[in-house]
Amino acid sequence: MTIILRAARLALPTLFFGYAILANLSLATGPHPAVVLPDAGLLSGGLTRDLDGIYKKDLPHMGPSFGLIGAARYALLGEARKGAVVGQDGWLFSSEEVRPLPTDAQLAGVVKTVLGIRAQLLQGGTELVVVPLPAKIDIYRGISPDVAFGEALATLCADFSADLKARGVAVVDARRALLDPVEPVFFATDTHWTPHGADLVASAIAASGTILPGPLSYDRTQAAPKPLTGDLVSFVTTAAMAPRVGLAVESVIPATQTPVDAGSDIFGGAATDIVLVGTSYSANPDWGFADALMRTLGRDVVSVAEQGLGPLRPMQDYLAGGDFRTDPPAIVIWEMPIRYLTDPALWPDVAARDPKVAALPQQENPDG
Amino acid sequence: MVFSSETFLFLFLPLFLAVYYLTPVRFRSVTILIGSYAFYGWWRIDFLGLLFLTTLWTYAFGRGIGAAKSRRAAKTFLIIGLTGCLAVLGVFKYLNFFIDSFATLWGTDAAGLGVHWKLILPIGVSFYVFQAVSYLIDVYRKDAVATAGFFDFAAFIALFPQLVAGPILRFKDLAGQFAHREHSLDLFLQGTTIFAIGLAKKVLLADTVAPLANLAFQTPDPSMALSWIGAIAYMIQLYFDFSGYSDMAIGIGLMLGFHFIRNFDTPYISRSITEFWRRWHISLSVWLRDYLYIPLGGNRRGGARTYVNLMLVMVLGGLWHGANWTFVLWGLWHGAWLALERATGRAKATDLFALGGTLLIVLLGWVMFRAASVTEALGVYSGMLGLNGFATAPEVALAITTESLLFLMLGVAVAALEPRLNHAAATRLRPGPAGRLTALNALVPAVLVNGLGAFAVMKLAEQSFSPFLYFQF
Repeated sequence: MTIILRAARLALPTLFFGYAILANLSLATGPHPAVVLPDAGLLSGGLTRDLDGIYKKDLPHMGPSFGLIGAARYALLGEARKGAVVGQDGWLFSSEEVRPLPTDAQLAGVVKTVLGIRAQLLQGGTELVVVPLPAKIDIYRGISPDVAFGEALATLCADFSADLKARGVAVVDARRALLDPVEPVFFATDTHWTPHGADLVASAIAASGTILPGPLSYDRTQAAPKPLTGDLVSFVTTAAMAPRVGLAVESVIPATQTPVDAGSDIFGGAATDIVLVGTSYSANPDWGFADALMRTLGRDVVSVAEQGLGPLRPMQDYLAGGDFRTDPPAIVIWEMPIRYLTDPALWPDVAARDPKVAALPQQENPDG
Repeated sequence: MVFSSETFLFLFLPLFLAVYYLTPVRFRSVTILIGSYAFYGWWRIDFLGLLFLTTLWTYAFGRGIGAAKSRRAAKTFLIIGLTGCLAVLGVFKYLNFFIDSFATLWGTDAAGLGVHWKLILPIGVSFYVFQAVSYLIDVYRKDAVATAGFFDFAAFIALFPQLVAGPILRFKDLAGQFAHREHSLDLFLQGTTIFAIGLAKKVLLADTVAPLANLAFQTPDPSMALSWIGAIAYMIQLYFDFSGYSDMAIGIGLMLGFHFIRNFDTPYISRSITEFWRRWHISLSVWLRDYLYIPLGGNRRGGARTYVNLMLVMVLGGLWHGANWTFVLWGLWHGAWLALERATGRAKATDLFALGGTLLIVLLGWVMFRAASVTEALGVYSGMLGLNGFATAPEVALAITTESLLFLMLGVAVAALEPRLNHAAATRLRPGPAGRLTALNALVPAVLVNGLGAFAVMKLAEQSFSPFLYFQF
């Protein structure tokens, strides 16, 4: 017994320094980025910051700690880390959907930016079709933390669309299309829509009359379903721990499609028909939005959407690129999640009006 | 480098301790000096030069004062030495502030005056300059002997456990320990325990309630509930952050055989502001008393002069915390209450009303202390008075998490019960004079401290760990 009592007194330094040795051995032998002298230099602490980064990321206890504490927080308190908010029945929502709404001046700045882009497109003979995507917290407001968020974003979506329409911009109402009471249009644990949601919006665009249907048809081949751990799970716990606390692993069915009679037209149709600009809703092939557009419109669609940059940067990149100048398409579809209207830092006209916004660092939205 | 970082915990500390204990006793000051410079240089190596030059300057003028043939000559050395040290503080900590304030007086900003640069504030400069100043004054007063050992002195100034956030040490208290100090397993174990408790205070309490304080101070026109929650959260955050850091410093000191001054003594049970300053940041209070208040005349020159001295000391103490008008007003606030308590005799009050009143005064002071500007503080005060309304916006209410509220309540409970917890730890959870180990004094503390330490390390990891969102794409 005395030995146990004496050992208990030594437990703290033994465990702590023992683990420190193991942790450093693990770092020394494990894969991680090389620490190199950055441009910032040795004197101003650039090298040590790199080393700090490795110790913050690659120590053996980091992942398990994140998983265990996050899972406990979710299971006991029903909360997530900053970045996600928890709804009912295992549904998660992005914190970007619970930001304060833009002021009238800020919204006017966004509209002004859109009008400027439309004018630029028209100079090349290209029509713009804007597709504001409603927020997940709006569509699923009944299982969200507070219906007020969904109501507010629905109003914002309606106001924004109405403002654009009043100024002659073609706008498609994606919100009505996504109010499907049967099949999920968003993933429970992911920011994004399901392929079914993407299909519904593509159909709404086709049905809106803003784009004339074409003659093309496509063969579609579905692959086996693959498991999907939603991007919002990263704000709760690890992928391994998530199912243990009721965050379901979802699934997505990837698909590929090819145009029917593609062989006869392999060198034909040189002009680009429709270009899709937008965020990860369009860029991620697993959601299949570009394919759905091609099927429902019967026309060729080229996607230049980008992940993680919000809706404006991909549009600016496209306009600045050579493709638009040399081969302007007939139509540009601009997919624009409504939650980005609540991030004034993304909109230069808003920033120009508000010095506080101008001072904000340029954000790159991780799940955009 | 900060104590609550993975690099410190798992690389620097174990490596330093290993090298320290492998170093022959007579060279250990050199090891401490090299280790402390590595610790400081981890932030920026270039600012290590300022620390070294300040050390060299203070050492040289300390020697000058000690070797002076007359008091007049000693005083000359003292004045030049102090001027140099205070110039470091003045330039690096206050020059930006003075330029900005001067520009504001002229209705412009620094750029409008042709000033297009801002000096970086060197970490810990307030602490090491105050230690240098106390050394020069102590040598002049003959309270300390001008040391001949440069490495001991440089190691004292740079001593990494307290270099960046105190406690503010005095050479006269540590000179003997540099010459000879005891190292033992018991001291080492005591040090690791205090260090683990300090880490738990910082990571589990201070860092977890911090988002509440941030929310209140960053929300324009905060509601009444948010303002009070935010102010109380900051009160708890600041205490456990700072006292946690001090505990970690004291713990590392014990691992190295040093006995540092206790920096906090359950301040939130104080029944007067006078008592509060005997319990809060004790090393600073003692420093201000010995090197500012007493030289100004203390309470020996009549009532009015005493009140002026109290105000002056607290304003300068406020400015020591940072170059901002908020700190000046915070200092004035505390100075005024110290003077009022002295005038009315409330300094010796012991009733519960005095406890509540003191906590309220401290709380109101912390609002100004925390705010980035006087305007921001006024916004929170307005909220506390209900002038911003009672409804909290949904997105703000959502950010007030159950987790942070639970930890806030835990922090309040620990702060209130700390005297009893400390008493229980000192009497029941420690082996008695006979050293007899029991389940209560060996197993229970081991389970508690190891559990707290492990939880703190995991929570720290959870806060640091940022998984890559794009692995799935």
